[in-house]
Amino acid sequence: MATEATDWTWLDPQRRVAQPELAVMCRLDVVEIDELVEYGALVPLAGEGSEARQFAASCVAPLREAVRMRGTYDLDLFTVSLLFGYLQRIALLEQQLRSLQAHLPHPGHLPREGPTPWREPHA
Amino acid sequence: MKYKDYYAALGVPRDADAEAVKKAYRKLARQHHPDVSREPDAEARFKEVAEAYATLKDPEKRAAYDALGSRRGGEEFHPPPQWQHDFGGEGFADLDLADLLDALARGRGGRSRGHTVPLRGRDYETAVRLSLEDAHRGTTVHLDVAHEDGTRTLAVTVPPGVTDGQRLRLRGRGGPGHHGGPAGDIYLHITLAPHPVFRTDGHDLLFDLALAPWEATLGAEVEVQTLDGPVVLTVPAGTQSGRKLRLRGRGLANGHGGRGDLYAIVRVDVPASLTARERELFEALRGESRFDPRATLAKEAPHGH
Repeated sequence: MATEATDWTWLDPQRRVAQPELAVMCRLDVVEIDELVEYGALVPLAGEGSEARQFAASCVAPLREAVRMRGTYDLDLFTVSLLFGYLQRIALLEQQLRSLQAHLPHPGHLPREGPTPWREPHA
Repeated sequence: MKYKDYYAALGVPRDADAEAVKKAYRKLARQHHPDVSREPDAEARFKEVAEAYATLKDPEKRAAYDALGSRRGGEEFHPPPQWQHDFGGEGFADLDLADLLDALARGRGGRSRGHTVPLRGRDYETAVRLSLEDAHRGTTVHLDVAHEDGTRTLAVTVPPGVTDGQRLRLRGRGGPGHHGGPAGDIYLHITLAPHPVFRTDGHDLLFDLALAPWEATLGAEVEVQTLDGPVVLTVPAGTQSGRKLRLRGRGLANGHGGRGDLYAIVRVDVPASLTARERELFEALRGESRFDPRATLAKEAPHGH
C-alpha cells in the first residue's frame, strides 16, 4: 500500500484541528473535549465564531497518550486533564532540551579535563 | 472452556467491594505495565490483570462470572446452558471466557439480534528513525503493523521537512473498521538518527567549525560541508569562539518550499605542539600584544576575594 506525502496530517503547533476531529483522533466524546476545556487543560484557538472550535494539532499526541493511560489505569476525566497538562509540559521540555543540546559543542571535540596545577598569585 | 480465576489475578477476596477491586487493579497495572516494568513477562501479566479487571469492575459481568462458582484457575468447565441461549445459540468451543463475558454484557445475545454498533478500526502508533538526508528529501518507510490476519507491512511515504520529534497522522490507513465503522489511523513518531557532522534544532542545522587562532583573528575563507555539497564560508576578522555564523537557507527543508538555516559554531583550536619558529612567533606576539582577554573579568571581580 503506497501513500502520498500529501496524505499526512502534521501534528504540530502551526496546524489546527477542529473539535469533532480531535474527539475522533483521541477517541473521546465531543462532550468530554468540552469538559477538558472547562478544566482549562485544552485551550481553543481564537477563530471565526460560527465554526467548530479549533485546537493546535500539537495537542493530539499528549492527549492520545493521556487517554491511553485513562484506559490502562481506569482514570477519571479530571485526572486525564492533569495528566495531559504534564505530558504537554514534558514534550515542551524535551523539545527545549533537544534544542539546547544541538547548540552545545560536540562532546567529541571537548578537551579532556583533569587536575590543573595552580598556586597563589603572590606567594 | 478454561476457567480463569480473576480474583486471584487481582489478589482480592471474592467478596471484595468495587473500590478494593479498583485499588488492587491500579496497583498491579502500575507494577506490570510494559512501559514501567522490565520483567520479561510484564506484558502477559498486565494483560491478565487488565482482563480480570474488565470483568470485575462491571457489576453485570461480575455477577455472571460469580455465577460460575469458585474453581481452580485453568480448570475445564462448561458454561451454564442459559449462557448458550443468551449468546445466540452459538457454540463456546473457540471462545475465551473474557470474550464470552464481553458478548453477554453487550446485550445478552445482542449478536443474534443484529444490534451491532459500528466500531472504528485500531490506530497503529509507531516510531521511525530517519537519517538527516531522508528527513530533508522525504523517503518511503516500511512499517510492520499487527493486523488481525497477522503482521502486515505498509509502505508509507514520509514527506520532506519532518523534524526530530515530529508527529504525523495518516488517516484511514490503520486497522479496518467493524460493522461499517471507519478504518483507524496511523500515527508516526519521527526521530532523527545522529549525524556525524550536523545537529538539528527544528529545521536549522548546526555544526562545529574549528578555526586556528590566526584564522579567527585575521579572518579566513574556509570550505564547509552542507547538505548540498561544500561551500566556501567567509569568516570575518575578529571572530570569537562560540560565535554562530549563519548560512541562510542551507538547513533542512521545511515542507513548505522553504528551508531552515545552517549555523557554524566557531571553536578556536590551538596547536597542541609548536615548532621552534612557531614558538618564537607566539612569544613575539605575547611581547607585542596589549590584548587582555580577562580585562573585563578583572574589572567585575569583587575586591578582597
